[in-house]
Amino acid sequence: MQKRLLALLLCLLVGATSRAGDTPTYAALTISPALSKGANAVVRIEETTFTVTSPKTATERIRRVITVLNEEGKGYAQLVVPYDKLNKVDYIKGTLYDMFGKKASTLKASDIKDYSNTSDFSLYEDNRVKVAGVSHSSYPYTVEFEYQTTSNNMLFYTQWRPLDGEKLAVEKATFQVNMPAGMPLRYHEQLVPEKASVKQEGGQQVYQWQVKDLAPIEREPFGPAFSELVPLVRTAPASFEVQGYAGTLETWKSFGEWQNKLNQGRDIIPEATKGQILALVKDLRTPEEKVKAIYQFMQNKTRYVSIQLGIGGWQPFEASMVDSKGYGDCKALSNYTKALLEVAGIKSHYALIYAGEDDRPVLKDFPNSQFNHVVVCVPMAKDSIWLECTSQMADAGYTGSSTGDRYSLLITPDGGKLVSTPKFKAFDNIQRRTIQVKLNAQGSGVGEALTNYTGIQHEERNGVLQHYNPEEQLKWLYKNTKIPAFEIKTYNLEKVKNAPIVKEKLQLELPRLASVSGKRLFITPNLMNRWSSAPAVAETRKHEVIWPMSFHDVDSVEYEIPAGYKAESMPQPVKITTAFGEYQAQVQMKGTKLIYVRQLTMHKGRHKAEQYKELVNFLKQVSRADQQQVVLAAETT
Amino acid sequence: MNTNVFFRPWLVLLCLALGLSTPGFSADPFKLGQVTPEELKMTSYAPDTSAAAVVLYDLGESSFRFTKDTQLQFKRIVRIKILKKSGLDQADFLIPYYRRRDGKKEEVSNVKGFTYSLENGEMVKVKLDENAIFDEKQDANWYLKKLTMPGVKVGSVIELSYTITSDFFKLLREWEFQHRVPVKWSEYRVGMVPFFDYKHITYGGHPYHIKDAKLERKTVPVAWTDDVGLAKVDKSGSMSMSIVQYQWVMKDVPAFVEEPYLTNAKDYLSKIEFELAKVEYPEQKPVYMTGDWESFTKEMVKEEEFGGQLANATFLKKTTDGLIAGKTDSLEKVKAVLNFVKNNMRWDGKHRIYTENLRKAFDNRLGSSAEVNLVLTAMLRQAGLDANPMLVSTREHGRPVTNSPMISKFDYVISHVAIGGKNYLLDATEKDLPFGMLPLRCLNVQGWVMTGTAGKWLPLTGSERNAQLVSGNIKIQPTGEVSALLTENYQGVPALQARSAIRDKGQEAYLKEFANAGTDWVRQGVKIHNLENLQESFKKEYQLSKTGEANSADLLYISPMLTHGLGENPFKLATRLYPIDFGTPVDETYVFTYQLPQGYEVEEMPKSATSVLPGNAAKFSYVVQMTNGQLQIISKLNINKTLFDASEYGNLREFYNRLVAKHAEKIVLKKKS
Repeated sequence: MQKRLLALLLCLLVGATSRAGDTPTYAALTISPALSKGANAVVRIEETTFTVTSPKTATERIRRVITVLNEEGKGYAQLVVPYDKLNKVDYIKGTLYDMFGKKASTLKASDIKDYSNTSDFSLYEDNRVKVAGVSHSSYPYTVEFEYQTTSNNMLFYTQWRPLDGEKLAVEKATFQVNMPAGMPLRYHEQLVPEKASVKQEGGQQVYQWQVKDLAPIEREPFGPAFSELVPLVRTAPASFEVQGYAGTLETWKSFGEWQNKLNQGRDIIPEATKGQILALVKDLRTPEEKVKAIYQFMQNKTRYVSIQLGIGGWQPFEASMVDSKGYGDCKALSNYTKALLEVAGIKSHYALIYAGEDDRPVLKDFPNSQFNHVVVCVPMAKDSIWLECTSQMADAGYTGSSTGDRYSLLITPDGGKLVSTPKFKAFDNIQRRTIQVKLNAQGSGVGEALTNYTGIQHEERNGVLQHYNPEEQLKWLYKNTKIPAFEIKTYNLEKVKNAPIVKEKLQLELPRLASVSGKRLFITPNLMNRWSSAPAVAETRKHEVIWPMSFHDVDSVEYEIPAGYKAESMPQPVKITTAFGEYQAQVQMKGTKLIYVRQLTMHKGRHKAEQYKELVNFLKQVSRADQQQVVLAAETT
Repeated sequence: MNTNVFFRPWLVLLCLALGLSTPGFSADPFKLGQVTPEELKMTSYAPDTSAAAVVLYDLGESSFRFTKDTQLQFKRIVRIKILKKSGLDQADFLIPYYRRRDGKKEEVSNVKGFTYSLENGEMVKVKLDENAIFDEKQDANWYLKKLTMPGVKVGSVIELSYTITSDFFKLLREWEFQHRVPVKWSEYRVGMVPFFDYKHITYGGHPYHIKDAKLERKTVPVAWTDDVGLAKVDKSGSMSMSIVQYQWVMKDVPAFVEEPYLTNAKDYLSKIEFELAKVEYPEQKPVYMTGDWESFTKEMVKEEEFGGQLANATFLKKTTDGLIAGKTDSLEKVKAVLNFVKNNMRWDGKHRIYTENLRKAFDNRLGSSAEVNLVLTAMLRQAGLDANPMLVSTREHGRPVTNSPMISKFDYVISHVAIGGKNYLLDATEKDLPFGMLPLRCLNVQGWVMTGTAGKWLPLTGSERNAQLVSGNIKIQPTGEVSALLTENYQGVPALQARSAIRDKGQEAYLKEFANAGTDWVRQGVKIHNLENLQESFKKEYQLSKTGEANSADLLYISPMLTHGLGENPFKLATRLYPIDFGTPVDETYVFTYQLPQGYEVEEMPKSATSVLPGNAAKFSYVVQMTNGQLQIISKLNINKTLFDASEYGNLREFYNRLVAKHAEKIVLKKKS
């Protein structure tokens, strides 16, 4: 009945639309079911026009009409426009339409809220957002937003990504960039069905793109980041100017030259500190020792405070200021460290990088500002030493999960140079554990577990050591030790000096280590490193499969079993080799000892979609093998 | 309330009297630079050697000013010793302050600070640069002063002082004695003037080292404006009054540590709060701000943004009439109105008591807890029912304070309706709530219902049954293959949670996720019953299966709890400082009936067992029995008490240890020879 009513309404609406002539209406029911299936909202039309007026300024105007289909899609009825000192919001307009496309209300000034957009503690950041929202009590409904921003930070051009969320569809979207004569646009296209159309219009060069009928795209487990899966056009300037600093972005080299201009003359170290540095390195022989000593000097003297000031947030404040105040952000602290090294006659480079998860690789062939962080790179005869200057506790040279295995742009005296930071292979990220357990006939035991964590696997515990007091450390260990029932009698965590290694020692009480049923003891020999989940197998896997991190785990557990018990049932040895990694586990009785050894090695990598099944099966097999039990039975005499 | 109305007449009188005495001053405790060499040399804090920093001295003082209407002045000085690198963030300060559009505001001034460090045995002092203090606008009314102390290293002592002048004299600043790092000395002083009577409320368990009140006679400058003919003339003078000088001191306060399963951590932090109870100017009638519960209720009923909104709700009449047309039974009317509000007003997630405009919220079909439930109350009244608003303190807001009425101790409104002598408590913010049930956030001891101009406390324990029953018939094959037909049945809070889980995820995604029951198990043929029919229990039915080995085995080991065994004790930590709050009683039952494979017999099976906590606060029973060749397992958990004291933690943890152990036990089947 309801369906018929909807169909009837649809007919009436379509009729009304055709009569209305050219005026577009946004009745929700005219959306094709192919697009709305699985969607919470549908972009009806989006028009983005980016007009560069000079190397110094540009405006961006966006009109977006979006139909919200249900409660989950209501976030799309909210517009969030960030702004700061160099990016101002010219206007925001909005209109709400009901399900029939009839205008219900207009966005009022009081519907636009203004918030600070700073993260954590930041001493000075002028990042703010305007949030405009309209809402309607029944779904579906449609909102139209139109807004314009003007930017004076021409280091960044806009990027166009009309399908910018999961469970969203797009009927039509267009992107137009207007460039003044003599200023070519640089751009990078990803998954756009049609290449740019370029034409001359008046004095302007006009670039246009469009997409139509984009159905929702779903992320898959162990799949690429969402931003890799959707049409995306990135744009960048050839030449630009920010607050009086002009540069070109055509090559990495020229980007570096611009950064050099920003940094120029900001590396003066006061005489007193110079003296301290020279005294510090006087008796040190190798450059490595000197770098470490100076790095530690900087770590003891300063701390990180976020201050997003200066030339679009890209100019470090002076070394002398860091010296007197004892704090700075990543730019200031890196610039300061580089200047300190210079005092000791050691050459180093200010290095731009994208810190954090490395699922956002730098596009090597599209030089532009793709970074969010600064470190220092000290070239050495063999490997470079990378210095993370925002940490008071990091080891010199350790990059790890935050800055390892990715590109960094070195700002050399000759300009920018893109280089790779150290990779972390399975044998760099080891967790090696030996456990000895004494089990009694009541099923409980006592044990000692010694574990060495290296590379990326040491980071979490290193953080716990540095930031938590002993009470919190113990709580953390309770939370993160994966044994069904245990007490930690004593623990010891120790960072090995100047190496990415943490040693952990746990004295454990293991009540109910084995489950007792009459004369039998059931025991899962894999005591504390059980894999327990695998994603569901997908009927159709669309995207590539990504395993995010390499590691190598070795667990060996030795159980002293109570007298009078023998093994009634023992799991078979398991050995699996796949493109993703290797697994083997074996358990055997040696006299009164039950000995279990397990090794799991995984490799960071990207694989074809077809291989997803292999990964799921592998994880299932590993998980099953990890839960297998040994049954011990008391000998009845 | 406009203070000037009360202020002027008596002030003129008082100004004629001149101040008599000026009490002597001891060394100014707010003076910067009183850092001792011992504090600089100190490398660890003996009572807590793990501390990353310690607050050496924290002093706050609030006093009243009468030179610009009535103002509150708050002065603070704090000295912090940095002991470890992880304590460096103690050098970052945020000072929030408030400004209103009508011009009333708080002002932060005299921000001064120094960092003291030892360098080569000598004290080096770095001054906080005024340019390094930043102002930030948070939202329409809230602003922040942000600063970070310069030159801070491990070993430094930092010192900061500032003043906040406030036009909001109703809001006497609270004081927190306890912080994330330990505190050696924390002191708050308040000079109470005779006209304002504030209630004091102390939180947390740490005792006061000093708690003192002294009467002092003081001369206070005043200024006011007088009308002289058509002109306004500024006048000033001074007056003498008795001031009660309060002093609260705590020393050696341990660091505040948060723990899991504690919804209202704030209740346990040591602090003192104030609420204005009475304003009484000389020769004026006292005005009670909160007073006794009766006048509190009267005030609320009169309050423009609360009772006033309820009184002017004729705009709801037409809608209500339509809803109850043809209905004679009162309960039917209540249900019709509740369903209408649930389906036509969306909750914005905010906990509120007041509303500026109920009509606007109704027109927008969107509102806070106050707006949604005041609309509900108003409509019920329009329907001729005995409906009333009820004030609630939600669980995250803290336990309700019953000894003296304070509006800030509530944060939420629900609706109460009495029919035939029976009380019904209603909340229209959650679509999945069955009639008569409240969401978990509201189940917090008791709430204050305002019936007309009187009021009373009503318990908020939730009257519905909270139960979860999982039952199934299971077949075992000689290969170890398991196939089961399971039914999960939920009532009360568990049903609400189950329904909300499906609503949040979307039914399709939920079913997809539910089908994947781990690496061994598969769930198929999932059927969901009563997702929308809230008055019935929520049910899930499905087949659960696990493949066996290629060949039959001589011995079969079965985990009888299937996927429902509790694998880990939720209480991992050995000790606990704060109470454990379950929110509602728990009633979880599993009944599994096993059909054994042909040719096999039971070699071993778990023993039946029962454990009970004192006073039947919790009970677990596990029964295993063979009947007619079928093996039956019944596991039953009841938590009857919802709030356990920290001293009961050990018992509760051991109780769960036994449950986990029982759930891990196996059945062994043996092929008959």
